[in-house]
Amino acid sequence: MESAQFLPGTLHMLVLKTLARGPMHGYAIAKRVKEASVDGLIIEEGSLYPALNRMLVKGWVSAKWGTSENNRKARFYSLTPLGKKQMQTEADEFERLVSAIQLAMRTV
Amino acid sequence: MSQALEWLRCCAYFFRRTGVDHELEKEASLHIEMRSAELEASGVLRAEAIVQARREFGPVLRMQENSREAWQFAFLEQTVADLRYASRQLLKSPLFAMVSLLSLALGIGASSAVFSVVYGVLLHPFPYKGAERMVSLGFLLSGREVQDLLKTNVFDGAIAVDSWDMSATGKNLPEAISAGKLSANAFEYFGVPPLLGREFRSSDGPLGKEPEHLVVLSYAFWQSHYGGDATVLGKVLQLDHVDYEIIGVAPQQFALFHSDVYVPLRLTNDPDRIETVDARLKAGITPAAAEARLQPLIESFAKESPKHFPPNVKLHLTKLNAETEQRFQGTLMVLFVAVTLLLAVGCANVSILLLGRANARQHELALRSALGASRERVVKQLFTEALLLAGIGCLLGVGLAYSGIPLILRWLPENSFPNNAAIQVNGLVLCFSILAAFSAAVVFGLWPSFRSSRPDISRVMQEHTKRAGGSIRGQQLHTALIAGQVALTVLLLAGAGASIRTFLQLYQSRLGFDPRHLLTVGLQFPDGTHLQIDERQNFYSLVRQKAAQISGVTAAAIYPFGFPPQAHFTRRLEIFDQPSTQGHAVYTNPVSREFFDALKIPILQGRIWSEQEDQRAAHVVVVNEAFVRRYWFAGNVIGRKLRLPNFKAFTWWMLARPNTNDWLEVRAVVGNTPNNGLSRPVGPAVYLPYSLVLGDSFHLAIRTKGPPLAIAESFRRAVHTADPAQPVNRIATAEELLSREGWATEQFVAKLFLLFAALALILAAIGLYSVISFAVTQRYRELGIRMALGAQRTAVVRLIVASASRAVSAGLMGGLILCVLSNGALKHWTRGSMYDSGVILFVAVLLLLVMTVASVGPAWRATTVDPMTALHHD
Repeated sequence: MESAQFLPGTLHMLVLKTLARGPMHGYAIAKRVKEASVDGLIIEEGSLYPALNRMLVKGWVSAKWGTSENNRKARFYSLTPLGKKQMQTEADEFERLVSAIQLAMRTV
Repeated sequence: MSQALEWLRCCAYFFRRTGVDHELEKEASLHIEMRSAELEASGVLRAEAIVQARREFGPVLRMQENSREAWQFAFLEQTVADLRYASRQLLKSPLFAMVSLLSLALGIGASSAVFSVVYGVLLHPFPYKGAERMVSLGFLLSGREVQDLLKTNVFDGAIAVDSWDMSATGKNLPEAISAGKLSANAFEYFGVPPLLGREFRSSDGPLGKEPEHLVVLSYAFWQSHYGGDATVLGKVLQLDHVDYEIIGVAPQQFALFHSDVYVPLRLTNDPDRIETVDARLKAGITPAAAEARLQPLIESFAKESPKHFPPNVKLHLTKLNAETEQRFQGTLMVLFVAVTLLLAVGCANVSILLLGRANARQHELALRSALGASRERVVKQLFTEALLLAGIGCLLGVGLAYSGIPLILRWLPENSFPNNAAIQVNGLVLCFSILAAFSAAVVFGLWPSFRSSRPDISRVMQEHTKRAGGSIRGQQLHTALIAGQVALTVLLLAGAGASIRTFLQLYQSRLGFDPRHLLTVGLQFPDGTHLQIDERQNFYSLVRQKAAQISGVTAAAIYPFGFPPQAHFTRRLEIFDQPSTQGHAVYTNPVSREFFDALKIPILQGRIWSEQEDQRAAHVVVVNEAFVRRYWFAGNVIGRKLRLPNFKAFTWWMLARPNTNDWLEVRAVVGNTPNNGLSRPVGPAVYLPYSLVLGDSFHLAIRTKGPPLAIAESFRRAVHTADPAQPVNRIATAEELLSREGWATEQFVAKLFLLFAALALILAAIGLYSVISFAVTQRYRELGIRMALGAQRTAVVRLIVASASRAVSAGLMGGLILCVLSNGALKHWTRGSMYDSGVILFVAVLLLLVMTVASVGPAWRATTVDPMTALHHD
């Protein structure tokens, strides 16, 4: 499911970060993640939806059916306060992990 | 908090999951549509755009499944689906399911039920406080002596007990009631609280004073006579014309002497009113240490009142359950071993069945893997199946255990337990059996996933279509399991054979008398009546005459108590001119002259004393064959003299003629009848006129023409005409008495053993049958090819049976070796021996026969294989 390039858990973080800008439907999230990472991160778009569902279960995001920009019925996801907190925790954690790896790469 | 919310969200999902599925589908199609529209806008052809969008999205179904899994409940759904699938699988092969469940249930149920009885009888037989420290002194002591004993600091309590028959009076017909007479402190000593009301206590019967007239009812008596009525307290029960106030009801577990009622015993300082004494050792004092410390005291008692103690008195403390333990320990241990063997055979059977199934399912599992099932998923599914099977099997087993205990108890000889309420299903053993059976089911249920970490899919798939023979490895395991099963079955069969032989030997052993058409009745004088020896003798004689006159009675004889296979009592012997015999013990039976006639004991030499001699208590004696063998090797026996120096009873309820210790003249020699239990050799015994010593109770042996119990009512009426106040206390046929005397125990063991052996044999046969059926299925193509190439049917049968016969013969050999090895243990516990050519031959033949039937059936089916069908068979 996850492409090899993904560090585990980073998909959640990216999605949460994307949603911080405002409610979005699934396709928009996928497009946004792809664009922002300038093709550096390739995700199988289908794997986005299970991740969204997991976050729904966790209560990090909420979903609502609405009308898309081209007037189609679409499901809009938005960040909950809990999700905001989670995003911060994950981002900090990721930062810590990356700097630890960098430190290790320099010293070894 | 967030956990709970999560759970709530999942619950909400569970109820609208079809809606969610629909939404996911919509989302996916929208996504793909949007992407393809975008691609199209950038100049890609429409058809190509859709394909690319789809590719980028990935498999839609997997996305949906993964999304559903996110909702946690997916796990539950999977389990439900697995369970549904598993039960379908079981229903699809009902025979497999039935046999596996039966094996599990029998293994668990039978072993738990029997062990629970073992536990109830041996390990926890009494509901009393500190029961394991309770001992019986084996002497009759006076009240003052008991007080002295208690001062020694060896015991922390003692009671005097007596079991007595009283008559319930005040109604039309007197009714015999067995009364436990207990010193007033008894209930405090036992520490068993009453079910209702109160029990009597020390203050109700102080030493040397007449106790209060109080009665505590036993649970059984309360149920049978008062229908369990709680208002019984305060009512009056008249016993031997004295009113007793009912103060309480003992709980069901309290069944001392199996008495109907308990009344306080009169404890006196009078050295002649002496009673049996039970005591509880202080914690930390062993019986041996107590014996050593009390011996001087007992010797001083003996010095003070020599007639109440045997010469060279030696104290021996008997533990409370020593007798039960001795009688049943061996039996129950052997049964428990048998049941463990049955459990092992049952587990082996389940293993064999599951193993066969596992091999047959290799193809299915390979297919699942090929379709993308992960290994975890396959293991989970197999595990669910194993759990379902084991779960149902264990439930059935538990049910069997609970319903089996009453059945076993009904089979047990009467009065063989101190109480019968404490026997419940033993939780520990139930858990043990369940664990054993469960592990077997789960381990072998998961077998296919153990066999290879990842099945070589293509190999299995192709092999299946081209296979000619089964895999070697699976067969080896099968052979080992079958051999083990057969070995254990042989052991069980041999054990059953040995115990049946023991029983048959007992049955056929010469009783020396004819127990058929023989009734025994017991009468006990109400307390304080018939105190004159002549009056007693007249009454004995009157009742005997009335019994003999009942139509259908051919003979009636008086005997005080001991009926074969038990003697009345033992006495010291002294033979005239043979001083070396002094001090030998001899079984002594005071009887009326008709005794030999009534029991049909053959008279070998001389003549029985006359009726006049009975009347005047003549100094004559009849000896048994064993006596002659032991003391008079040659020469004429008749007319010789012997005496019983301590014949005159020291028990106060016995009245004796003067000079009972004088020389007695031998008049006749009679055949042997057992006098020391059914299983031990007959000892030297003497019979002499009953009129020499007369107790306050006696029995009649009545020989009848028809069924013995038919005259019981006439006898009751006859006794009533002799003395309206006299109840008839005991009525039993001779055959009933025999069954109480170990006869029934042996029969019980033989039955249970036979049952277990039969079950094991059936299970082993089923195991073998399924293995061979499985082999035939596996080698279907090979057999087809052989038949097509012209193989004879017999050759094919031989081929199939050959592998099975290897397993069976290995098992048979192993089983016989086990028999020889464990024979010592069996002999230690019971009298039976498995090392008996008859038993072993029988076992071997029976086993081979059953195994042949079990294996030839499916093998013959193999020969009906049509070569063409077989070759096309997948």
